[in-house]
Amino acid sequence: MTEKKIPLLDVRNLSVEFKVQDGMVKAVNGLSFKVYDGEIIGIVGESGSGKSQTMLALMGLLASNGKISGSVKFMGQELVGISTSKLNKIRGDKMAMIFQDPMTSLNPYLKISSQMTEVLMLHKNMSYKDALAESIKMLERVKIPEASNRIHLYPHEFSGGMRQRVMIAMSLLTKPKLLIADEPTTALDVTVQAQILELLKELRKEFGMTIIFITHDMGVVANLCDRVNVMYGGWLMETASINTIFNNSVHPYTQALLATIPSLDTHVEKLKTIPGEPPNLLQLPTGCPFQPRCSQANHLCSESIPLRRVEPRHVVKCVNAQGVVL
Amino acid sequence: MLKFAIKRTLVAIPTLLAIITLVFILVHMTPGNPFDGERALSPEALKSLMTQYRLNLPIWQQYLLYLNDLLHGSFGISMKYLGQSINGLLFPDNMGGFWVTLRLSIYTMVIAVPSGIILGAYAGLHKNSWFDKIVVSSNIFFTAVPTMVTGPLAVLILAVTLRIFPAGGWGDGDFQHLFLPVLVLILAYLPTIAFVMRGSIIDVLNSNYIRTARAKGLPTKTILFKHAIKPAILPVISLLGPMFAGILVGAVVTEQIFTLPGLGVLTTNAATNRDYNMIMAITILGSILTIVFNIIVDLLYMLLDPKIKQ
Amino acid sequence: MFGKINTLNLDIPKTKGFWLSVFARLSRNKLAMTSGLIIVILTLMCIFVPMVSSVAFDKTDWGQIMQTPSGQHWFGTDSLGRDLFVRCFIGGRITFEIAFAAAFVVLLVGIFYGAIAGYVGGKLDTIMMRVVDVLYGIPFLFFCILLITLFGNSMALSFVAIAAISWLDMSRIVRGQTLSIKHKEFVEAAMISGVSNLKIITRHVIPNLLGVVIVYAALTVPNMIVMSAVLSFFGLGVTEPMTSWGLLISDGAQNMQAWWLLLFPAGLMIITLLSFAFLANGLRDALDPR
Repeated sequence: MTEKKIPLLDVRNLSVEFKVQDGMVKAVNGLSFKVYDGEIIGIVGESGSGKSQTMLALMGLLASNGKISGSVKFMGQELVGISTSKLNKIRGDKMAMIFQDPMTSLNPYLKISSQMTEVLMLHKNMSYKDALAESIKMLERVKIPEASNRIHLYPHEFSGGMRQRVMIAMSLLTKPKLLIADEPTTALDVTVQAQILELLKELRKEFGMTIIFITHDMGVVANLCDRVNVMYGGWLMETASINTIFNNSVHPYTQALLATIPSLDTHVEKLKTIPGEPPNLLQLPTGCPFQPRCSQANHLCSESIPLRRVEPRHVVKCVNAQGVVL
Repeated sequence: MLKFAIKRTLVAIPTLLAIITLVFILVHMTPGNPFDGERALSPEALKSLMTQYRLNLPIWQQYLLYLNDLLHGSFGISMKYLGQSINGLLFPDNMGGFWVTLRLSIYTMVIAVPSGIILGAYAGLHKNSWFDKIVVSSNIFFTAVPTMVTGPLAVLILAVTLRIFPAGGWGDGDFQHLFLPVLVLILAYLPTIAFVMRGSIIDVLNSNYIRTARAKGLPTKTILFKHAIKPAILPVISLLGPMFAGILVGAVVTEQIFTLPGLGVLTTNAATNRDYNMIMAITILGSILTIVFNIIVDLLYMLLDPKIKQ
Repeated sequence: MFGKINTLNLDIPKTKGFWLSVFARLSRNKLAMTSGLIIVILTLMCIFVPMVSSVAFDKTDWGQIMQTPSGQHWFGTDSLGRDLFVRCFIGGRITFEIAFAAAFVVLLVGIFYGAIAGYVGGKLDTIMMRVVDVLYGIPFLFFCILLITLFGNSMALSFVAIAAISWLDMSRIVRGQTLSIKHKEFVEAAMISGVSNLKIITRHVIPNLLGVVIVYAALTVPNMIVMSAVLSFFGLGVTEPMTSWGLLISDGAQNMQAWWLLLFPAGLMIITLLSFAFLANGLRDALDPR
């Protein structure tokens, strides 16, 4: 993973806006980041941080009142502004996504077999028979018992954890280069969560996939990711490798997030939380969006704050950061 | 499937029995006998009438005999047209009675349901377009304003003033004569179907599973026709059950407006002549149709929705 | 028109501030406010026009048969030379009387039936709802005609017949609401502390149903107007020389050459029905903003 390689995904100055009754809401502001082959990138933030909207924008799945600007290059191809039919050749094939809520993300009116085979028949021109065989193999790979029988069931005949396995299997059918996972374990039991994460790790090794993993759980990040983007109020706050984030993070928000991880080693009276409420996108303060909740805020925080490179591949947006302005 | 159909029918039988019993009790509770109003009948004539109509028997025997008649498909004898069987009046050999009402209802359903679904889907796919606005506002208008107002207005405009269609009558059931009554009925129900379809297609397209389908790179056509159509139609299906009873009544009202020889005339005549047996027959027939249609709708729903298979 | 389902989801705290904000939202809705105003004006006209008019509604004038609308007879005259303007409003008065009275009975019966079924639950609920199911199976018009034929044809009976078959929807809606209210903390607290059932129903359950009831009332009145008009179409209910909108429209439909006989009563009825529809929509939006 050297800097010279062409990134698999190159996001530059990406903004996402939504037209609402009272005007425009900016969900993502000038976001730039690169993802290289084989990496697992974590995108961390509270609700309203813009992490999910960023990923929906990449996939062309924004709600109809959403507007996207900037540039997203995937395998060298620009995705912003291309036609749906061109995008349809990429999404579901080279780039796939799994969603937060497995209970509602599968079509309840179609059999699993129908929902899985259509992907292969569309992108790989397979016959139904071959596609079915391949789908069963993939279901077995994600450890669904009796896959050859259960593939002919409807989603409601599966448990939540099993449905998420089906979702994962479905997204991996085409062996995508990039897998975007939008809080895939949030809706699941803790034990099931651990199993799914373990599964994703195995599959990543096996298929050589690149994964973007969206979560609000720093513990999950520590367990899974190589690099982390921390987002808040639609802005990128800090990006660095997993070690740097956990040992040398600069941004007070990142530090606050890290402090919320419960530890088994130290005795705590009360679980830590970040004081204040998640940002209201309709009423963001000027300058740093985190300043109302920041323990280190000062008068400079209301100015416009540049991104600074603290060290190679460690970028921070904070007045306290030292480094080259980007 | 067959098991469900049988079970559903068995559940409906007590309901139907309860309706028959209720109607029977109501009719036979009324003081006096139905021949009070007739010109002074000789005691012998009255007695023979009472026997003919079983009114001399204890009420529970009358009830059981009536049930027995119904089981054999007979609604008894008319009290106005003495001695005439009600079946002959309800189901005449030529076009008339129930056949007229049934034809109006069926034409209405056959046209209004598919076109309502298509127009509603189109409106939902083009939300806030002018077409969508027409669907939404025509739903408000035709939900509020009933056939008994729109019908005469349609006659006034299209028949009396513009002279495009005849103002009434059955003719020989030809297009010219049936156009206006069926149009009026369609206008009463199509907008609701379209409006429900519009709402449900909007909901479905915003659902998570449609987002998944888009993420899979499926073309819009596949998303609409494979993934969205079934769940979007289900709310329309469940609307049809209660709607059918409405169409049946609406058809009867429409017959009155266009002077068609259907159940409407029979009902009015029965009401003015206090022909209890006839009204009882029409009420029970209407209930049977409503119940049967609801069973059909339930079966259809079950066929489409995999979640209620068990 | 008939048998349409109106689903409502009003799960809201009922505080003074809540009702104030409902009223504020409603008063911002110009369409609903205009509709409300039209209903008030029409009601007042129905009360006062026949009172102050110089001609009686049943005064026949053989010299003035089938006159087109003019300065003397604003809505024209009918085949007996009676003034249509006065007849329209006396007919409106009768129509409103029947509709409001029937709606009142419908709401009363529906609320108590539904609230008791939902609140008591268990076997009683099952039986009560089975009764509703059975009545749902009967096409209302035929049943209504049956009742009127059996018990005689009069205005009072026609409204009883209409009311007798129209409370079903209301009772179902109220039952559903009651079930959800029953499991709210404040009601459970009242139950635990031994407050009597009747008191809980009247103090807690029914006041909390107010939102649904208000919206449904605005939907029920026009429904009753339509039903009474349909009965008139079958020659049941109000009889000559008294009149109602249904009777006037039915009369107009039989005299198409005299267009005014149809257009004026039909127009009045359309305006009324649409006003109620918009008012009901406005109320629903105001009570359940989303």
